[in-house]
Amino acid sequence: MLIAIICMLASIGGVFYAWQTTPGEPFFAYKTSLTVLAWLGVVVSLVCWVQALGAEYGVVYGIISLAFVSWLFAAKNSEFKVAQTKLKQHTQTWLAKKQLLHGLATLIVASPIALLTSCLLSLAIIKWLPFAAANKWFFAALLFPILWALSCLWLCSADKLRGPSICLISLACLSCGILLSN
Amino acid sequence: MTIKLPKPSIKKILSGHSWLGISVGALTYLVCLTGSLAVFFEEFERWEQPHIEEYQQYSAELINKAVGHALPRMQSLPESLYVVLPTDDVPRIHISDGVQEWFVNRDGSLSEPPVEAWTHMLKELHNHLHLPETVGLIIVASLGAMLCSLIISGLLAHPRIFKDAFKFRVGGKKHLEQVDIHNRLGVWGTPFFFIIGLTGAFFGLAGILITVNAEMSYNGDQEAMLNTVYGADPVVSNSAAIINYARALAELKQQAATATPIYLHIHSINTDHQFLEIAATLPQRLIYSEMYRFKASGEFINHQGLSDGDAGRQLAYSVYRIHFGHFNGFISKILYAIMGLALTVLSASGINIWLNKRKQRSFLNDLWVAVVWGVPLALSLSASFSLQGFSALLSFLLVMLVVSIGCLLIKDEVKYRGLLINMLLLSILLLVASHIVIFGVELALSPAAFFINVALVSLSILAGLIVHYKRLPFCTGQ
Repeated sequence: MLIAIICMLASIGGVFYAWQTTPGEPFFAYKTSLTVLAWLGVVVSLVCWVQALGAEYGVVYGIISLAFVSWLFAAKNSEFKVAQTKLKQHTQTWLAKKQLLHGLATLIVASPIALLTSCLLSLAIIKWLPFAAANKWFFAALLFPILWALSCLWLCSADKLRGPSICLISLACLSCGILLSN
Repeated sequence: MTIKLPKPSIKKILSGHSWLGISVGALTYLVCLTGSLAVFFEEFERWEQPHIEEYQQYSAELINKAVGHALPRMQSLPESLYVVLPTDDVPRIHISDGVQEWFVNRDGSLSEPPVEAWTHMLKELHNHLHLPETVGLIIVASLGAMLCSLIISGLLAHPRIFKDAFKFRVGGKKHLEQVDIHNRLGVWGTPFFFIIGLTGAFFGLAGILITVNAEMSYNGDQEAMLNTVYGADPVVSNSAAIINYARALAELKQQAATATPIYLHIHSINTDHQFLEIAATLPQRLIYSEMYRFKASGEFINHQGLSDGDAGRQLAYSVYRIHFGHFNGFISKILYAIMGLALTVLSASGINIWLNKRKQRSFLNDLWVAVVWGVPLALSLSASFSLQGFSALLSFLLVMLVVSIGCLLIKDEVKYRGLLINMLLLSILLLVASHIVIFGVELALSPAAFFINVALVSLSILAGLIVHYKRLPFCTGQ
């Protein structure tokens, strides 16, 4: 475990050093190589975690240690300045109402459509997968929130709701057809 | 390293990221903060009832006696009876039929029931926001899915996120400080936060998927569908009249020497088809437990295959421990709580960035301060009130109401933030003082309560010192 931590510290240290290197510094020419090497070190650290704690705990601890060590280097790199306390003027207006209404309407209208489509689509996709029933179901259970997340993002990013909405509704109908076609 | 997307696409994704963030920011903050605390729910439960007998050793005889004492107290023979065994995290035995529950004393007699106080309120707040259960679960799960969406859009919408991987400006312009906090926490925590979002979404959305899938493929029979995924219960008949716990526990040692029993599930007790399941954790495994089945005579039947069945079954049964960090002892809980707090700060800083971008301030700025600092204050004060016998939920809501009205009256977010932070620190000290007055200080009697009190006092003093250290942003009004 100690080796895994040291390896993670050294690897992220390498990534940090490569990130910091500027033109004119001795190692600048090797910046890309150093970055790649350091990321390989991160992989080695993950392998060490897995060796020490088993695959399941090891991956979780590896991911957490990656975050902690990186934050440590970010904190080391912090630049302190005196905080500026100038406050903006307090007004009664709080949001452009049109903008707010559009945003809320998008979310309220889009979420159920996106939810239904993602649910049906994830179930339709697993129908063709050559896995055992439990594996198929779990795959769908993971796919469902990811598809929903992506479709919500699509709807929220779109200028107009009509196109994505029609596309999602069509996908939902298609998925429904596939699911009922037995 | 940069992610190169056309500028108009980046602009659109950034707009989507902002809208999603603003829409779910406050609720995500609440769920993340309560989740970070809920990691320690077992310790908080011990802290709430420190006088309950704690012990790790138990025998089949003790289980037998406890069951014997519990059954007459139940109105009818329960379909399922659970005997939860002591572990390192919770060295207490309790017995339940899913409705009523009692702790078990060392001699097998029943102690008092677990209280449904502050910790219960905290868990319910995290799980379903105290809304009707199904609706609340789906809303919280949708926050998990939106978190995934925010992570994906965050990475796509910030082309410099890797270029600025270690940039961290503290103080100075508030906007830049918040951007750096948001991006640094976000980019390095991404894999973990994505897992938390996905597993959180799983808890609520799996229900929808089960309903739809059962309707489409199993003629509406949800049990049949669940049996396919998780495995079905064995069918037992002509059972022995008395359950032989001693033999079952001995058989378990033979079947799985490394397994640690965490609870017993007695099916259809005192009927001719009664049987016993022993749930046991396995070393280095994230599955909640493997279920070992025994006849009433103690003879081994089979195990459910949660540890060695289909990968989907193993993963589905691992989601709880992955999400809550309840594995490998206390160290995982601490790591999860820190990561959870990082996610909480990430949510808050996202809204801060949006508020700072606006040309003027409004009541939203004040209200946001009330949410960010009011929720921890309300949690702390509601814990104090709960110790005095008041409703934890009602106290929480009342404090939030008062804090929200206060922010609208004062209309100065800087002053109000300072006031709320000081009140929060004082309220934590008050909480510890109330606990000591009610239960006393005895390390030997309840180590969990003692260490929680020490941790709370230490953290509030440390936070007080940090807050009043002038170089840091809180104190300068930022």
